[in-house]
Amino acid sequence: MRLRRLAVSDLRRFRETFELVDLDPGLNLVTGPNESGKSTLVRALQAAFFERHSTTSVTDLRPRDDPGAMPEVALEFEHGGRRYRLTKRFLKKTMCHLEIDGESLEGQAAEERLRDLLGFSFPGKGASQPRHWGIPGLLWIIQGEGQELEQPIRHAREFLRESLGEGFDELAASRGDSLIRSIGSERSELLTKKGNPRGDLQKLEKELAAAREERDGLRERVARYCQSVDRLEQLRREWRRQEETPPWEAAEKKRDQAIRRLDQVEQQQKALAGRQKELESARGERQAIQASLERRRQERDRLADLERNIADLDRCLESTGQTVARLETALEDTRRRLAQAEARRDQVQDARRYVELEERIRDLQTGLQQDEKNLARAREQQKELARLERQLAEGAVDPARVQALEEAETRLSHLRIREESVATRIRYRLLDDRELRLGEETLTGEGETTLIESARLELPGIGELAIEPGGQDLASVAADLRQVQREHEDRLRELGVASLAEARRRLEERKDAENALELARRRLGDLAPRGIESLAADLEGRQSRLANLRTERERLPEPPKDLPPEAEVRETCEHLQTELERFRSRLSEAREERSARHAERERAVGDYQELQARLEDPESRRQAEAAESRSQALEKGIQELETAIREQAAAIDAAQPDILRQDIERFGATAENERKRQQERRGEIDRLEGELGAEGVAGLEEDLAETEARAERLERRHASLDLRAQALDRLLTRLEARRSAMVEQLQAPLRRRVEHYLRLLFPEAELRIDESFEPTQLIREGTADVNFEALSFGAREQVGVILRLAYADALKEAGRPTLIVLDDALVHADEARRQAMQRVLFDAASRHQLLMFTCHPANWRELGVPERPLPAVSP
Amino acid sequence: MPPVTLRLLHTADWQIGKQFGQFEREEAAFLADRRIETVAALGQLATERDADAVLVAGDVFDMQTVSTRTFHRLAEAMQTFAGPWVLLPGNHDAALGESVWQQWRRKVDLPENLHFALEPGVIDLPDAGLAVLCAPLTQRHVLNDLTAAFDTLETAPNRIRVGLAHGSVQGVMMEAAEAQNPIAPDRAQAARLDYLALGDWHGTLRIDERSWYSGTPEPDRFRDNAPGQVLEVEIEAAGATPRVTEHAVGHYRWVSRSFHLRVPEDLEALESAMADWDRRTVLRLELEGELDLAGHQRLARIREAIHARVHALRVKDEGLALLPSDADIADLHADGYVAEVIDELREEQAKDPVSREALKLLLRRLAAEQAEAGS
Repeated sequence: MRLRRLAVSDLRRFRETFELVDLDPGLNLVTGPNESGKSTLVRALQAAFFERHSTTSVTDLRPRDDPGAMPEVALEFEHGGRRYRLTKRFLKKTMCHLEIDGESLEGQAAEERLRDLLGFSFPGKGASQPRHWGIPGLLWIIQGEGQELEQPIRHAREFLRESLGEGFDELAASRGDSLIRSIGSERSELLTKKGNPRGDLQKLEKELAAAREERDGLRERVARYCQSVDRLEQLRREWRRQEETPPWEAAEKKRDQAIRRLDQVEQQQKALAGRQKELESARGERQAIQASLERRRQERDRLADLERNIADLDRCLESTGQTVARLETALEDTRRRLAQAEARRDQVQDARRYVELEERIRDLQTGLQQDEKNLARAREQQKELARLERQLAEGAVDPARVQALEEAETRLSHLRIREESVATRIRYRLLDDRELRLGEETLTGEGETTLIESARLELPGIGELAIEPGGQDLASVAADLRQVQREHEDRLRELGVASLAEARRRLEERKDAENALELARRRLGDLAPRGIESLAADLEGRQSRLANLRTERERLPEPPKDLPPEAEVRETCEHLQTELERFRSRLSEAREERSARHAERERAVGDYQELQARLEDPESRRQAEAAESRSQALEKGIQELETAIREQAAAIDAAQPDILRQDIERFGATAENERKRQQERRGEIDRLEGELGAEGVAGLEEDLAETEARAERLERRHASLDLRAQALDRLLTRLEARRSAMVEQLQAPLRRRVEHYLRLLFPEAELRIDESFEPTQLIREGTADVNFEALSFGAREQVGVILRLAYADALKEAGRPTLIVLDDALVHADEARRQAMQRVLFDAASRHQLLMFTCHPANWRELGVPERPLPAVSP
Repeated sequence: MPPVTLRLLHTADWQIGKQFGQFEREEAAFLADRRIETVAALGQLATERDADAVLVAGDVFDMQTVSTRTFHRLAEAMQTFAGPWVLLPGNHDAALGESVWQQWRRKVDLPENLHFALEPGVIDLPDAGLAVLCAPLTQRHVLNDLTAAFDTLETAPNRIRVGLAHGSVQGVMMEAAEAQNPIAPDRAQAARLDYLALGDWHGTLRIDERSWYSGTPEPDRFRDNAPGQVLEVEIEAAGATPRVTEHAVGHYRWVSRSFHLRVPEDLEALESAMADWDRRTVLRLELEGELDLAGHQRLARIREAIHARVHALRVKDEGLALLPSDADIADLHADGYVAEVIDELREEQAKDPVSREALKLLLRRLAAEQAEAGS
C-alpha cells in the first residue's frame, strides 16, 4: 500500500486545508515541534478508516470552540495496482466517498470495503476503540505506545489469522486446544503435574496397600495356624507312642544293673589295696638289707684298691728319684759349656772393636789435613776482602750525581740547538784578503756564524753595521743557556771530573769493585760458614778426639787370626743359657713331684690299716651273715604277693568300673530326659489345644478369603483407574508435543522476519515468541534472560517496533496492504540504539511505506530522507 | 425292619465360606450366602423325597476356620432335613488333629442326626439298613487310595453297603489333580459296594452304574459340566443296581461366552444372546475383534443392558480394538495434529493397552464435544 496524499481540513488545528502530497513509497519524515499537528494527522488517518462517517462521537476532530465545524479527511493511495481515493466528512454534512479505479462507493459500503482491505472492525456503536483497530492498530504506533504489544496483537489476532493463511487457520480450527484443556483437567484429577497419583487414584492406592497388608497379615496368621495344627498332631502321636512303651523305664532298669555291678567291683578293689600295702612293706625291708650288704662289699673292694695304690706309689717314687739325678748331671754339664762360650764371645768382641778404632783413626787423620787447608785459604780470602773494601771506599762515585750531570748535559745540548735555530745566521764569503770584524770576532774567507745578541759588524772602510738578531726568544734562550752552563760546571766540580765521559767511566769502575767484593765474601762464606774462629775451634776438637782414639786402641790386644763370626758365638751363648734355665725348672718340678708322691703314700698306708681293722671285726661278720639269710626269705614272699595282685587287678580292670559309673549317670539322665520330654509334650499339647480352640482363630480363613476378595476387587479397580491415568497422561503428552511442533512450524516465517530485524538491533540476541505471537523473553549473550515485561521502556519499544515490522513483512508476503506509522516513536532510544533503529527502519522502508512523525528531526537526520516540516502554529 | 427301598441324597463340595473376589462386593455376598441357602433347599428336597439319609462326599467347608456365624447358619439350614446327614471331610476340610469339625461342635450344639465321618470306618445306620463306609481325608492331601480299606471293611449283615469318598477317580478326569487323593475306578466292585458316593469334582459325573460324582449343588465357577445338582439314589436291595436321579437345586447359573465383534450383525448376535440370561446368571463375556466408533457406542449400551439384566458380569475386552473409520474421524472434526495422535494410537493399540485406553478416551471426548457443539 502506498499513500500518495493526505489532506485534512476543518480538523482540529487545521482549520484550513492542509495536505501532505507526493509521499514517498518508502520513508517519509514529517517533522514539527509539539502541538504542530503531527498527532492530528495520525488521528485523521485513523478517523478516515476506523470511524464511521455517520458517528457523532468524534467531536475531538472539531477545531476548538467551533461547534459548526465539518472535519474532513481526504486520502489517495494505491494497493494491488489499483488507485483509491477516499473523502470522508464527519459531524456535519457527513459523507464517505470512495473511488477505486473509477468504481465509486458511498457511505457504509465504502467503509466496509476499506475494512476488508485493511483488516479491522467497526464498533457497533460510538467511537472506534483500539480493540477494533485490527491490523492497522498493530502497524500504526501511536505516540507513547510503541512498547505496548500485548493488546494490539490480541486485537489483530483474528485478522492476522485470516491474513497469514492456512497455518493459522489450521491451529484455530483444530479441536486440539479444547481437547488439551479437557484432557489436562481429567488427568489432573488423577495425577499431579509430575505424574504422581492424586485424588481417587491416590486414595485407591492407599486402600489397596492397606488391603494387601491386611491380607498378608492374615495369610501369615493362617500359615501359623496350619503349622500349629500340624504340630499338635505330631505331638499327640509322639505322646501316645511314648506312653505305650515308656523309654524312661528301660533306662532306669539298666541304671540299677550297673549300680549292683559296681558295688561288687568296689569290694574287690578294697582287698587288692590291702595286699598292695603288704607288698610295699616287704619290698622296703628287702631294700634296707640289701643296702647294708652292699656297703660291706664296697668296703672290701676299697681295701683291695688301697693295696694296689700303695704298690703303684712305690714304683712311682723310684722312677722320680732317677729323674732328679739325671737332671742334676745335665744341669752341671750345661753350666760348664756356657762359661766356655762366654769367654770366646768376649774375645771376638774385642777384635771387632780394635778394627773399628783403626778405621776411625784413619778417617780422622784424612779430615784433619783437609781442614787445615781450608783454614789457610779462608785466611787469605779475608785479607783480599779487606783490600777490596778499602778500594771501594776510596773511589766512591755517587750514581745520582752522575745522573744529574747527564740531565744538565742533555738540557744544555737542547738549548744549544735551539739557539742555533733562532740565531741570526751570517754567511760570508770574503775576498781573500779582506776581513770583517764582527764584535770581537774577525771574519775571513768563507764561513758562517750565528748571532745571538746584537753585534757590530765593522765594514772596514765603510763603517759598521749594527745587527740586532730578531725574536724575543733569542734573549731568553741565551739566558737559559748561561744558567744551564753554570749548572753543568757545578756538577762536574762536585764529581771531581772533567767531563761526563769520565764520570761514567768512574761509575763503571765502582760497579766492578762491588762485584769483586761480593765474590770474595761468597768464597769466604763457603770456606768458613760460621766464621774462621769456629773453623779453627773445630779443627782443635778433632785433634783431641784423634788422640783419645789412639789411646783406646793402644789398650786393646792385637786381634788373633781366624776368629769365628761374632753372631755365631753369641747365638751359642744364648742357646746354652736357655738350656740351663730349662734344666733348672725341670729339676725343680721333678723334686716337687717326688715329695708329693711320698706324702700320698703315707696317707694310703694309714687308710689301709684302718679299713682292714674294721673288716676283720667278728661282730660285724656275724651281722652280715644274718642279713644274707633274711634277704632270701623276703624275696620269696614278694614274688607270691605280686602274682596275687596281678590277677586281682586284671579282674577289676575287666569289670571297667569307670564305664559302670558313666553308665549309671547316663541311664539316669536318659530316664530323666525322657520323662521331662514327655511332660513338655503334654504341656505343649495343652497349650496348642487351648490356642487352637480360642476365639481368635474362629473364622480366620473366612476373614482371609473375604480380605483376599476385597484386595482382588481393589486391584481390579486400581488397574482400571491406573490405566485411565496412564492413558490420559499419554494422550496429553502426545497432544501437547504435536501441538508445539505445529506451532513451531507455523511461526517459522514470522520468526525469520523477527530474527532479520533483531540482528540489526541486538546482534547475537534471540527473541522468544509464544504461540500467540507475543514476545516473552529476550535472550542476549552474556546477560541473563530477561522477560519481555521486565525490559526497559526503551528496549521494549524497540522490540515492539521490530515485531511490528516483522508482522508487516509477513502481511506483505500474504499480499496484504501495509502502511506503517510511527508517531514520535523511539524517543527513548539512546544514540547507539537509534543508529541501529535507523538501519532497521531504512531496511523496512524498502518493503513498506513508513510515515514517521517526529519533533526531534535531528535524531533522524541519518535516515537519508528530506524532512517535511509542518507549518508553524498559527497564533 | 428296613424299608423296602433305600433312598439317599448324594451331594458334595458345598464349599461353605468361599468368597468371590472376582465380583463386586454385593454380587459376591449374594453368591456366598446362596451356598447355605442351597443346602437348605437340598434338605427340603430330602424331606420331600422322604430320603433315608443325605450323604455329603467331602468339602462341606471351603476352609478349616470359618466364623461362628457361618457355623450357626449352616446348622440352621440343615434343620430342613431331620434324617441322618453323613458328612465326610474332604481336602478343604480334612479331619486334622484340630479341624473345622471340632470347632463346629464346640461352637454350636449340633443335633444328633449329624454324623461326622472323621475316622476311616463304617457308620452304621440300622434304622435305614445302611452301612456307610467312610474314607475321610485326615491330611490335606494323600497319595494313596484311602478307599482301599473298603475292600476289607466288614458291615453288619443285611446292610446296604455305600461308600463315601473324596478324591480323583483314576483314569477318568485326566487332570493333574489326579495325582492327589486317588481313588481306584473299580472300587465299588472290589469293595462290594452297592453305591459309591464321590465328591471333589464340581460337576455331576457318572463313573459307572454304582459310582457317581454328584457335583456341587451351587455352582461356583465358569465351567460347563452340569453343576448345581444333587443325586437321588434309590437302592431296592443289597446288590441291586441303584437308580440315580439328578435334581437341579442350584440357584445361580455361571455362564461364560465369547463374542467376536466386527460388524453390526455381531452386535445383534450379542444382543439376542441376552434372552438366555437373567437375574440368576453370573456372566463372563470375552469380547474380541474390532469396532468403529458407532459400534463401540452401541456396544457400550448393550453392555449396560446386560449388566442390568444379570446378577454379576465380568467382561474381558482386551482383545477388542477400537478402529474409528475415516467417516468417524471426519464427523468428529478430528483434523490436524489431533488426527495424527489418533493415527498413532490406533497403530499402537494392539500391543499397548495404555494406547488402547488413550484412544478410547480421546474418541469419547471428541464425540462428547461434538455432541455438545451439535446441541
